[in-house]
Amino acid sequence: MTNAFHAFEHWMLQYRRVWHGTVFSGFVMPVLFMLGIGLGVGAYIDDTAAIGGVSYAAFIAPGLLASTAMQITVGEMTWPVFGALRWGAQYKAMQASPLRPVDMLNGHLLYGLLRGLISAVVFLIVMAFFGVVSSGWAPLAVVPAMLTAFSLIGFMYAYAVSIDSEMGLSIVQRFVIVPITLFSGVFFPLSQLPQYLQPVAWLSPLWHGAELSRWAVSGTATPWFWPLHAVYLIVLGVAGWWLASRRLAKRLTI
Amino acid sequence: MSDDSPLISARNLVKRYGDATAVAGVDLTVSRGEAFGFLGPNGAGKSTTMRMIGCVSEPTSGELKVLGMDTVTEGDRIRARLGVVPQEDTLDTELTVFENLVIYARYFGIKYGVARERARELLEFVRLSDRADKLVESLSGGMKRRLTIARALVNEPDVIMLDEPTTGLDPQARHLVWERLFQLKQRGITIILTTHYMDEAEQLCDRLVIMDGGRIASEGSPRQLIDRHVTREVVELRFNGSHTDELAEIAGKLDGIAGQLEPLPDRILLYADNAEVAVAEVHARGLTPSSVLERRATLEDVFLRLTGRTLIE
Repeated sequence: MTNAFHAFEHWMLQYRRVWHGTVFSGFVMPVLFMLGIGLGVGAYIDDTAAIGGVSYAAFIAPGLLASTAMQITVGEMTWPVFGALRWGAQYKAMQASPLRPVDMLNGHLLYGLLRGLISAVVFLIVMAFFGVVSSGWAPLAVVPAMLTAFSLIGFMYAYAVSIDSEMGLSIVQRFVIVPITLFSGVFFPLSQLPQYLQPVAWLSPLWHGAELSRWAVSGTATPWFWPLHAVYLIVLGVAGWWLASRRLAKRLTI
Repeated sequence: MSDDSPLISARNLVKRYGDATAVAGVDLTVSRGEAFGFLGPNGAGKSTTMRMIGCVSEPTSGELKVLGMDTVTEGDRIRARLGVVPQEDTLDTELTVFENLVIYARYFGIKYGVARERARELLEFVRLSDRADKLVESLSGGMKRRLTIARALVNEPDVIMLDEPTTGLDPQARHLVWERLFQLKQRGITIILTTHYMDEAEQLCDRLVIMDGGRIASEGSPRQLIDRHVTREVVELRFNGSHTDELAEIAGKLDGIAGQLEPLPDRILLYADNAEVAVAEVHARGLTPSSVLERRATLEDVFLRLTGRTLIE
């Protein structure tokens, strides 16, 4: 694991040049979401029984927290990973050192997770400003948010190192990440979906993350026994990591 | 590992990519402190062999040991003691010159304090101290190459491996690189390089192999290779703009004058132990070349004899 930290340091050194920009946008995005959707769309919602009797803003905020952590983390594993392997020299340089492919992978994943963590914390602060945090347990929502990010990070990485054209990256963003964001019980409860579609949504890691996050923030009971949600996310994440390590080793050992 | 055991030893080393064979059974031994060169045309298998020695490519078959360790199972331990200068610079263009050295040192687990100190010393060594805080992007090709060499030394390697270290550099930059490599050699660092510049090979290498088609065509010191494959001297004869066919006809009349004879499109090469005697004989046979150049045989003559004159791309 020490080696992975050495690789991680490289990405941190690059991040040092841009971190203030990312933190700034990290504040702007959630503010816009809370204003535009939480308050704007929320103003049209009178009947809040289906969302547990809380305000619409309070309903979507915990899910958005998980969704943001997921999107930032996964986003870091798209072009930056494709580029590090294809365009830049970062991986080639690391390859000449004692770092093994798995160290390079772990270092990059750690960095992606850290980026997700920063955005999650920032989001939580914004939520507090909007007064949608009603429980002392709320900061714990960062944990399911990061589990959601972890569940997909390896898969995204594996995909980014396997494709030959960057086209695939936008396709994943549009046809995987966006649908996951929209149909995972973040903006409306799953019960609004047709009965037969609900089990499909159970596959979405974000649904599990959003429900856990909502539990922490508002105390809304989770649909399943809570460890099941967590275990699902962890199992997905480990499978993704395993796949990523295989794909990267294959790419680098030629 | 004792000091006299070979630093690198390869037995019947093979690398295949699908149906294509890049390296087709290479045997070689490099000793500690040697400056060893791989020469050969493009596609001869030099870089592939280097990548296997550098533990970033696994041999298809055969045995390869570096520093007494197996390159497949102990790659990370070997790489910890190698310095690699790849053909194309792998510098991080978004970081400064100094940061490039320090972060690279971190990959080797070198502590920050030590890394910074070495970075300063190495920048001095490659004469880039005044550029320390500049982004790599702003460096010229020669500077980038020197920085890459400095970076390869940051872990104080036992072996430094350079893949075409001076390709694309202007003469001043080349000579500076050679000077530095020569200094490293004097410090006892083993140097392994690939090149297709014969002057580079003659200047730097104690011993070299000429590769062609994935095999070693010949091996020895530059002097040994010249003695073995060509004569001591070469005479280049031109005949008033005569070309291929006419030259072939003239060559017929030169038969027997020298050891070997090679008609080219614009001139005839006579490989002779004594150029003066050969030239006298040319005149004695009634031939009057428009220009006569007598010179010592070089590694380039050996190279072209062994790998042919056909352009390989």
